[in-house]
Amino acid sequence: MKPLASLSALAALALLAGCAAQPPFGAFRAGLTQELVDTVDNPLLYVGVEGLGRESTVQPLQELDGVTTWRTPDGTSAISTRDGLVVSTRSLGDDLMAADIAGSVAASKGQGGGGYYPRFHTTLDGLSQPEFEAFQCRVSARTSEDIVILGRARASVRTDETCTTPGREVTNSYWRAADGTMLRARQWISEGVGVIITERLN
Amino acid sequence: MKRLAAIAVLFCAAGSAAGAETFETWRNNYGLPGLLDMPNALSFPDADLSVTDAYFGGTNRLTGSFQILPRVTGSFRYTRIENFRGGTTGRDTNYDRSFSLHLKLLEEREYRPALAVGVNDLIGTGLYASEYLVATKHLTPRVRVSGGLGWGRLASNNGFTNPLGVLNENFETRPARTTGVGGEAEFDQFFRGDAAFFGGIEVRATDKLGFAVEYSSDVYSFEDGPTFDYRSPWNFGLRYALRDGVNLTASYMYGSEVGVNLTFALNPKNPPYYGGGDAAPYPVTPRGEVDAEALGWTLDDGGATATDQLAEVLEAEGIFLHGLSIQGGTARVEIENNRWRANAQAIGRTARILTASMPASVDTFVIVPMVTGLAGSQVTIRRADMEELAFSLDNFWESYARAGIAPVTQGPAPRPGTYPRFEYDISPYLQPSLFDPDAPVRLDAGVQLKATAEPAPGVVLRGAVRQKVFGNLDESTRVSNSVLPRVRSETNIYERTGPLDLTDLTATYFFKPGRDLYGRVTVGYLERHFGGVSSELLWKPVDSSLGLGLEANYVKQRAFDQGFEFRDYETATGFASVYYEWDNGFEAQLDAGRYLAGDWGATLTLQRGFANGWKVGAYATLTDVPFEEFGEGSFDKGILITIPIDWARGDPTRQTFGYNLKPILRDGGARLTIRDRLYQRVNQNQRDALRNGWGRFWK
Repeated sequence: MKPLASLSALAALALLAGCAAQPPFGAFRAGLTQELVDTVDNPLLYVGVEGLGRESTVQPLQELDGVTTWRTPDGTSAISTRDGLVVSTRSLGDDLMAADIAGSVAASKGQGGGGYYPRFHTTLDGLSQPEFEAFQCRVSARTSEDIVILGRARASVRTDETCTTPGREVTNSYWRAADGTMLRARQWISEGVGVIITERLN
Repeated sequence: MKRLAAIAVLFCAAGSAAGAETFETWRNNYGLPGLLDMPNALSFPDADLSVTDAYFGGTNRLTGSFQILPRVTGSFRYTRIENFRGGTTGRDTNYDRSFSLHLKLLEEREYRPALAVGVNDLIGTGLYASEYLVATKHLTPRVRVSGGLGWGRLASNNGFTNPLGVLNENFETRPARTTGVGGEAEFDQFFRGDAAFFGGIEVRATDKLGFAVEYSSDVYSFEDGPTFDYRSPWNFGLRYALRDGVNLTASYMYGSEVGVNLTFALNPKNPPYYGGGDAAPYPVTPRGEVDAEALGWTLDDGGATATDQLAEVLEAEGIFLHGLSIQGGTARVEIENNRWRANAQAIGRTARILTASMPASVDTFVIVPMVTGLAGSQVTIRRADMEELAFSLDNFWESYARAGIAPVTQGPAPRPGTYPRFEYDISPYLQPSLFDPDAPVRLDAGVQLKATAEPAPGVVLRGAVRQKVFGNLDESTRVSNSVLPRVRSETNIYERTGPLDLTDLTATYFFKPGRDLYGRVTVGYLERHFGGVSSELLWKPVDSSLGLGLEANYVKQRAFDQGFEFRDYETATGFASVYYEWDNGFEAQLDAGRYLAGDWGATLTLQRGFANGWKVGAYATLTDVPFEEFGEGSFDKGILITIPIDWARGDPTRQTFGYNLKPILRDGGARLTIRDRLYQRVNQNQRDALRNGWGRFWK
């Protein structure tokens, strides 16, 4: 079993729901500095859950078949990504239990072709029975964009995808560096969780 | 009848305007789908559970309603009427319990109204005895009209000859009620005697505000005069949505009184904390990354270090490691789930931890979920499946389909040091007593100390003492008028003694006499009123929805002071039981046998269970005790409700709040209260229950 101890380096930075007074969303992100990030050897990802107003950093805990599971420093919450796209969340309530995002991965790499492609989300209903949501997605914009992370400008290609079901329409955005690294992403997760923003900090 | 025809024309004309759009069903003063005092033909969302408190003109009705099935609504009501009949019955204030059933016969269509039939005061004293047939149609998405025919009490305003007389002229006269003690359904009264018209209109003005006008067919002949002055059949109401599920209605009733109606509604299917805030589980670890040496498997201690470490990690997840053995490629792991509502969730978490803690040679996990030494099943999970399915879109079904849920193949094999075990708990307690006409609500509060010791697998010693701190249960001076052995009707005498009560002190042995068989023997002070010997045998195959049980007890009544002494009454009581669970969550239990007072009969319990732990149900017992001998209520019956605490709170716990709402406590049809009954212990780890909870396997 991998010791969770190495994750405690950033424990002091963790701001999770349950803290008595929750600071405004974005305050935690604004407080992250290069000096703080430099104290961490592992890959470090910023995660902001817009719908819940919760933010934290996460570090990789486990890798399985191309999916990385990242954990918050207190070990409470987890998020799993494939090629930088969120495929599951835990401890956020209306969690994304699993997802099939093969089409979105290709689109975010500019390999989509231009037509419609499917995207599937699995969540649990109030009786903990699985519910599946099948989106039809297409790329709505693809542009070069310089983004600033921790004061450093990074060249990226931004891909916006618009995904619809009979009941809703959501837009996800992915910013990839030339080497394929997902620098930033903004993805709709579920009704209860809303949008999750991820940002690669190192 | 002309008026009815006019309404029918109105429905047809409106058909084109409506479509499928409607608005929320309101709760009337009886807690039923309706306007103000009158019902309509709608129903609540399936499984909707609500409490309605309605007051006007000296009448207060407190009603609990449950949407039992999508078209069937049931309501239980407690009514308080001031200055009832001017106090001629000896009491100024009348308390009455009543039960209603409302059945939607037809759904609303474009050109057809919804149609419903209902019966009020089905098995009560008959104060509200009435029946109705009602139609409701939405004219626009914001306006609906209802019209219906009432019988009995609902035919007291402008009644006319029963149109059902066309079918049989017997319908035209309503026989007098015959019950003296209440509790019997008087089927020969239903839909008989004069009928009368009622109806009205409901308008949803804004999202929060609505109003209703109705024409009532109830003239309140019992209440008119002493309780309030009836002046007009027209009622007017204004309804405001305070928040989701909470509504307040202010009304002007019967031309003389101002009324209020406050409603709280919730739905077991919609938890306030969606999904719960369960901490993230340990992720699946690929087999190749497990370092057996670092885990301690290579140490020369028979795996003790590695096992202890596994036990610690499981403990942090709320799972107790009862036993572990590795033979060839199979690890057999006995667990006790102390935290998670769904045992499937505990099994899923255990399996993930095992992927990180078992040496690479292990390819199969056999997880045995146990409750007090009894295992309802064993679940076989292939390690490769955990890796393959961890991030698969439909991994719930895939992992359930691949898991082998089978009968246990061997008895408990606890790891060294597991026994003896000891646990104690000091906690506050509340004990209410409801529906005594002298004081409808009484309550005791205090502190209780519970202790449990398990010297060996399946052997459980348990006891509890209570110290009352304050309360008024002892104020009940009602003297039992029961002609049966007083096995329950002198409960109030037990409340007057104390203050320190030994509530129970037992030794129980749980065992498995054979495949699909489970056994229990308990001796001691079984419950607050009886002590003795209790034994039980249950047949419940892992993959069966059917269970059969036998229970035999010999008990003696305990002394009033709740100490170690006994009174003279002793009896044999026992049952043969059938348990059945349908796929839609409904559970039935039929117990037939001999009850505490020596009466013979049967109890039918029907409950609707939800995968998140909610249960709502009712039971009734009929025995060879004649209704007159039984006394008030005629026979034993009640409503059962179980609320999972995690549902309300959002964080995981196995605690539940359970309540048995018994309108009247008498001596007929009384059973022992035994905490250690087998069915729940076994059934929760068998196929149906695991499947219902499997959605949380990966949570």
